[in-house]
Amino acid sequence: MTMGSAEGRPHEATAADVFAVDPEIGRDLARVDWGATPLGPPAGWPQSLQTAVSILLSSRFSMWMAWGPELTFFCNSAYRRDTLGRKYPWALGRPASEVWAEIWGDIGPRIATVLTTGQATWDEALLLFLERSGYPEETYHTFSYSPLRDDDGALIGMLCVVSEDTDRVIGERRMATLRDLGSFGAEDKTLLSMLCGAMAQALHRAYAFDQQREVAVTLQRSILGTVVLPPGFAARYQPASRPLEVGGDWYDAVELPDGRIGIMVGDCVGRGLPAATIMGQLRSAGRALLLRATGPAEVLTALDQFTALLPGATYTTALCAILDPDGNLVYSGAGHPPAVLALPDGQTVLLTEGRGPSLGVRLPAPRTQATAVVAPRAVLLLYTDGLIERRRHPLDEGIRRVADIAQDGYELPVDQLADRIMHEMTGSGGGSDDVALLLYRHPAPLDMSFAAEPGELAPARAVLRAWLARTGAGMPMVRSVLVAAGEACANAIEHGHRDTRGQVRLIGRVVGELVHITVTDTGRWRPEAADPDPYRGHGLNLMRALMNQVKLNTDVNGTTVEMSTRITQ
Amino acid sequence: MTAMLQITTGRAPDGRPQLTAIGEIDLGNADELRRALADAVSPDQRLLVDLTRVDYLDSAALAALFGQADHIDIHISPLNESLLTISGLTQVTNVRVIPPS
Repeated sequence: MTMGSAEGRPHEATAADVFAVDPEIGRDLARVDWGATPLGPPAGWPQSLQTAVSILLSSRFSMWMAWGPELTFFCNSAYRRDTLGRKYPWALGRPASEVWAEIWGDIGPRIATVLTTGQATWDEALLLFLERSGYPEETYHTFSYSPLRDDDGALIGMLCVVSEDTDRVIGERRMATLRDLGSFGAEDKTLLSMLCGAMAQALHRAYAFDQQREVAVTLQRSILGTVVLPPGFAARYQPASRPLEVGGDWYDAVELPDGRIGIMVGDCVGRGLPAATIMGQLRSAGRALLLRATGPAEVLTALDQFTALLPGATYTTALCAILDPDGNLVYSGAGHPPAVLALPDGQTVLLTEGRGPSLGVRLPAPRTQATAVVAPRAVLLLYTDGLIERRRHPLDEGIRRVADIAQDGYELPVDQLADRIMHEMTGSGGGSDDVALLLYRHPAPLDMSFAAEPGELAPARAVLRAWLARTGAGMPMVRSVLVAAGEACANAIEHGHRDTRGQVRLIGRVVGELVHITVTDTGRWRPEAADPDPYRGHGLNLMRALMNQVKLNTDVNGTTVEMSTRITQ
Repeated sequence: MTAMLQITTGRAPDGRPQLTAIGEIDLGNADELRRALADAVSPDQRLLVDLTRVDYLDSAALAALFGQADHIDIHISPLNESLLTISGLTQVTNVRVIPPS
């Protein structure tokens, strides 16, 4: 140990020395943000703590210790190997109650005893259900908790010395079971105990495999990207190559900086892992291009160039589209089956224009794009051919069936509609091809929050007015809903937020032929009769007169007004 | 941002006093209308309140109109007629619906 001359130096050098006792654990201890713990930076640690850590790290017996008001956790490498498992290095520097949350009911009171009485505890082969490998596990430990004291001699922590008895206890139990079975001879017993050993090993391998699988699944899901879709959208995905979770198909819907939504669905050649790796790259590239592009033809043209650099990516089919909030759609296809518009009047429109060859194929002419309008309450369907392709059935028939399902399910939320389409088109799953489905119903739901102040009413009204226009409602109906929603918001502002500046939340949804408006606030409305201004009582009357249905619900969390009315021209 | 509202006073073609409101009236600015009405009404002549170019009005605006119902006649656009009917304002004062010119 070196002694420095400058102020503070000796402590710093000492703390570093303490960590250096075990270079591996010490390195991870040095990485902990000690400033965020009650112990503070190691440079300021008292001598008693440094000594305790030094003893801990230098022992080859399995040990952990807890120090200070939060019982901050330390352990040595034997404990890491035998007991801590996947909680290392996360556990270092955390409160012990967090590290061993699952057994705190067992060990917390023991530690409390040590810290109040200064007496050590002793437990032999205590059953504890640890979650050190990601699942609850039956374990047995023999351990002693002994008190640790600070520089002034006050009780400040505890040191645990532990040996694990799980194998011994379970082994003895196995033998006891075998004995209970009675009539086994010595040879049988040997055979059976060997079998048990082999089974234990197999189980360990299965657990290890589970962990590897979790890593693989996480990686695969990251390839397919975020599951948060813009409002109004739903997607379903079903890879053919189980147990893989991804295949060569992909979908994407991403909000662009200008408020429009970029949409893409694609299908790489082949199946399984090779197709999935190409898919992941094309999907990422497509998303990046969408964020900067002016139109879908430009995105596909750039993807053509990208595909040329990516072995195995040629002949990928894709459909790219950009949708604005009013339902105006620009789209371009690269060898992909057409998107479908299922209109509220039962008509089906195939978006067959703007078509070009698959990605990476030498183009006879520049890619083109076409426009379409997603009318109010229409459903836009993008898919890969796995959804509609059935042997001996023409493609058109599959498209017709999907459109019919969308038509029948016009009152369903988009998520349930997506489930129904997948269920009816692919049955129980396990088809021979990947399936990707992306659907959108116009208009996307409105969900806005604003400060509960009268001055916020006008801007909120402007947003609601624009949204109502997208539902296909005519002027008189727009006016009725604006006034009814305005009254609900005004009441929320006047009565809901007397004392605190709260928020008002306004939600608009189209369900079948109805517009639903929900206004929520965090306050309690005054009873109608108690309103001192008789004219202001008109608010609720207006809502009831202008909407088909008005429900008012006040509870401890605040007041919610739910209103609905039929969409009329 | 409060709703845009512009209120002017003058004379109607028949010579009686007139108050014209243009824009939107809600809880955020209904007091402007209330004050303007109080200033413009007179005991001897009924005030013509021209709301034909008001795009939006809510119960706060209706309350202001109710307060002076005995002294005013109202001109309104067809779109807002139902509001005045529902509120009962048409029963306590003269309301004329003027189609947009």
